[in-house]
Parts: sequence; structure tokens; C-alpha cells
Amino acid sequence: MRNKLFIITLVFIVLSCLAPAIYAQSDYELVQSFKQKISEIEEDIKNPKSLEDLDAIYDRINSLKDEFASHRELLDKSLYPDDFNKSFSKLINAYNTRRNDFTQIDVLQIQVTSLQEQLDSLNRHNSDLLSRVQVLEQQSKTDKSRLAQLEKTIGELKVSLQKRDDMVLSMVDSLLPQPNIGEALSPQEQQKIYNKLGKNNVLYNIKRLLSDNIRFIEITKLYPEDVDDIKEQQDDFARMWRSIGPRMVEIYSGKQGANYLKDIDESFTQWKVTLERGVWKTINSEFAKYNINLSKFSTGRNFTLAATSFINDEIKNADVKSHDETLITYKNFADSAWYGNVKPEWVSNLIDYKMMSEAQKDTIEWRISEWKEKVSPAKMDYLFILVAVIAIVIILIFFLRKYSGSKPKTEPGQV
Amino acid sequence: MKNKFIMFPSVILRRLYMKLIRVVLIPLFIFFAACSTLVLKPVDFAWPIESVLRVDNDGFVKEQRYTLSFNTKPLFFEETGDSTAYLDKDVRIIRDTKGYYFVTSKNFKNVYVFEGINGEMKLNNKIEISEKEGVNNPVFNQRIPYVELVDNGKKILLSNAGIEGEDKNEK
Repeated sequence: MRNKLFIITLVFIVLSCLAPAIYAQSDYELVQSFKQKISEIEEDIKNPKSLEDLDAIYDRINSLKDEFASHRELLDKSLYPDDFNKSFSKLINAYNTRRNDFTQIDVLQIQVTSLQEQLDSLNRHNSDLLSRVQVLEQQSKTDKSRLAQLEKTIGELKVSLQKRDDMVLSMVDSLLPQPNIGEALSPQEQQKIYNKLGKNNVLYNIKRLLSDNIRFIEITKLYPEDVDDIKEQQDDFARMWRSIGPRMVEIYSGKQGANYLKDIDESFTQWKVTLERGVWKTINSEFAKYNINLSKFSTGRNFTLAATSFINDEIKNADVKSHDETLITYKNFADSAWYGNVKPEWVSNLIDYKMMSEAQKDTIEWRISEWKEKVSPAKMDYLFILVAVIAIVIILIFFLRKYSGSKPKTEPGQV
Repeated sequence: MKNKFIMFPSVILRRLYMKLIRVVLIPLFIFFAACSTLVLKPVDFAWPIESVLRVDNDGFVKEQRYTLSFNTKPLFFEETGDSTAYLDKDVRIIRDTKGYYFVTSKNFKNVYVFEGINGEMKLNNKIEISEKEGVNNPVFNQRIPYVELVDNGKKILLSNAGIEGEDKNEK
């Protein structure tokens, strides 16, 4: 008992000796401690694991405010350019923003789950449609009654593909944070997004989007309006990929699935190449429709070469072939295929898409005019002019004679 | 007759007064008017808290908020007699309400009071805190109109004149 009393007395003596030291606090240290606590809370607001964690931070903000309320005057003067209230309102704003993020993430998570289900179903539907289109394309070559069915199925497929593409893009939007320039993701954030992307098969779906679009071009006949739509889709995709690509590389760096990114890059390039090939194939088939067989081409330059060399051959053979035959070939090429179809429907688009230049178009047209000279030379025109002049002269003579014949005779005695 | 000789005519006297006013009083008035200085008061120069500044390799410290920068080498030399004593040191500085800067550092025996004049920190007072040992963990607090020096729980109130409450004759 005595010992206990002694110890208690000793503790009191020590504490009373230390008291001045405890209370003799530096204002500077107090301000520093306040600043540190504020920045700790700021950091914690950035990376809460759950909404409950975030709400716990709100309680910490309030207790910090209470703790330092008695030093408010000192802090108001010292926290330049902020003050006591401003420091807390900044924290509360950051807290509210983060809370909003969490709420949005929850909503987006639900949306993504629903999107995933719809996406799976659309993928299956698109696969069926692609197979049906392929079969119908084959059948329509022999059975023209299948054409209407083919067109209907292609229309359905286009809508379905577009719907699926939009869905994939919105899924990517939902899962990836908006890229902020210069702001790197923490390893925890990277892992979190990596898990989410993996769970929702996002990379698979992006790759699937590309391969289905490639297949669509390969099995269907392209029309200029299709090309416009596909180009627009490609631009959208390129924009999306440019915006999320660097973040994806960051997230997948050294992890499983990194190869998928390379595959997606390659597939996107292939999609663009396939579209261009498809366009040139369609243009070639436009000429083939009029029995003009051009050699294969896949660029604007090759197309110009194929067209001009065809014309050159025709000009050379004009003397050997019969005039009628040459004229028919010329009319098929120039009037029907080029001026009647390819130029009005495709050429301005090709120039817009930078698949062909103005100069290349001019070269073809210049060669066509040379060919025209050969097929229907200018002397023919002079003959027509000569005939027309003779006809006019005859008509004039006729009228002059008629006029002089109907002139009234003068009566005798009249002056 | 004598009186008549001494007496000046009043016209001459008036002229003399006028000349005196022109030649002496007007220039004197202009001179004093030019010498009077505009004074704004009262002014509170006090910093709310001290600044703890790291001395760089060249002996300089830089205060960001008040954009104050000065060379501490002569200060450390004055305190320790060692020209390299500034290396790896912090300086604690605070400005009181009158505008005097109070400067000290760990293990200093004195607090140096400076006034900032013409691009210089001119020593105004050197306040001895401890004769034998320097201050272990000094901190300044603003306690208007004084500056409080706290070292290991011991508090002293300072002004540019010295330690408050200490009899200057004792020293």
C-alpha cells in the first residue's frame, strides 16, 4: 500500500515537472501538425477502399476541426493563402467529389453487368447474322430470289453490329477512369481496373468488335454510304483507343493480356486496310459489270495505272479492232462505268478519304479524252459542221428565191 | 540732432523688412517643407509564426512567404567563431510587431535582434539566453508586443531591448 502511494506520488511529481514542457508548444509546430493532418486526410480521400472508409474520413475531418478550433486565430493568420475554414471546405469538397465518384462507380458497375449480358447476346446474334449473310451471298449468285432476303439480313446485321460497337465503347467508358494528363494511376488503382477489365472481357470484346467489322466488309458488297459509316466508326474507335490506349498499356504492363493490346492495334490496322481493299474491289466490280476487266488494284496509284494501261491498250488496238467494237468498249468504260457510276458515286469520296488524288483522277480523264479522240476523231465533227453549213445555205437560198419570186409587179404608168 | 541722424525714414525700413522676408524667410520655409517625411502609423510587422529555414550550402536562407533571403555565415561565425558552422543547420526567425527580426538556432547562446535597413540586416541587439550552454530546442512564438522564446519548456519573453522582466542593471 505504501509502495503504491509512493508510485502515485512519484508519477504526479514527474507529471507536474513535465507539464510546462508539454504545454510549452511551438506555434510553428502546431501549424505544421495541422497542415500535416490536413494533407494526410487529403491523401486518404484520394484512395479509400470503400464508401465506409470514406465516411470514416468525414468523421476525422470533424474531429480535426474540433481539435484545432481553439487555435483558429493563429491558423487563420498562418495558413496563407488559405485559412482555417478554407482548409476544411477544401477537404469537404474533395470528400464530396470522391463520394460522388463512388456513387457513380456503383451505378456504372450495375450498368456494366447489364451491358455485359446484352453484349454476349448481341455477339451471338451477330455471329449468326454474319454466317447467314455469307450463305445468302453464295445463294444469291445463283438464285436471284435470295437477294431481297440477303439485303434484309445485311441491314439487320449493320444495325446489330453498330449497337454492339456502341455498347463496347460505353463499357470501356464506364470501366476506365477519364484520362488526366500527367496523372499516373497508383498500382492499387491499376490492379483494380485490370481486374474489372478482365472480369468483363473488355479486351476480348474490343477485338471481337474489330474482327466482326472486318468480316462484315469481307462478305458484303460495299456501297458509298456504307464506307461513310464505317469510316465514322473507325474514327470513333481511333479516338477512343488514342484516349485509353496509354492507360491500357500502363494497366497491362507486365500482366497477362498485354498481347491483346498488340492484337487490337493490328486488328484496327487490318480493319482500315480491309475497308480500303473492299472499296477498290467494289470499284473493280463496277467496271467488270460493263465487261471492262481491269488488272487488280488496291491503291489510288494502282487504280490509275490499271485504268490508263487499259485505255492505252484500247488506243493501240483501235486500228486493229473494228470501229464498232472499239466504240462499244469506249462507251462502256467512259460513259457507263467511269462517268455513269464510279465518278459520281465514288471518286469524290475517294479523294476525301485520301485514297486517291485529284491528279490521279485528272490523269484518267485526260486519257479518256485522248481515247475519245481516237474513237470519234475531230474530223467527224468537221463533217457534221460542213453538213450543217450546207443545210443552212440551202435553206437561205430557198427563202431568197421565194422572196424574189413573190415581189409585186409595178403597174404601167406608175413611177 | 543726434536722434535725427539715427532715425531711418519709414520707407527705408519697410524695404529692409521686405528684403529680409524675401531673402531669408521664404527659402527657410521651402527648406523645412521639403525636409518633412510622410509617416504611416501604426504598423504591425509581426509574423504570426516563426519560420524554420534550412541553411543552404552557400550559407543562405530563403523565406518563401515573406520573400526574405539573407546570408547566415556571419551570424554563425559570430556565435561559434567557426566559419563552417552554418553547414547542415536550421535557422529560426520571427519578426516582432515593431519590425525587428529575432534569429536563433540550435545550440546558440544568444538571440540576435536585427533591423532591416538599406538592404541589410543590421544587428540591433544580442540577447544572451544562457552563458554556459546553448539553447537545445529553441522555438519562437509571437506574443504581441513580445516574442516568446521557448526552450525545453522554459519560456522567456523578448523584445528588441532584451529579456522582458530582467533588470538590465543586473547584467
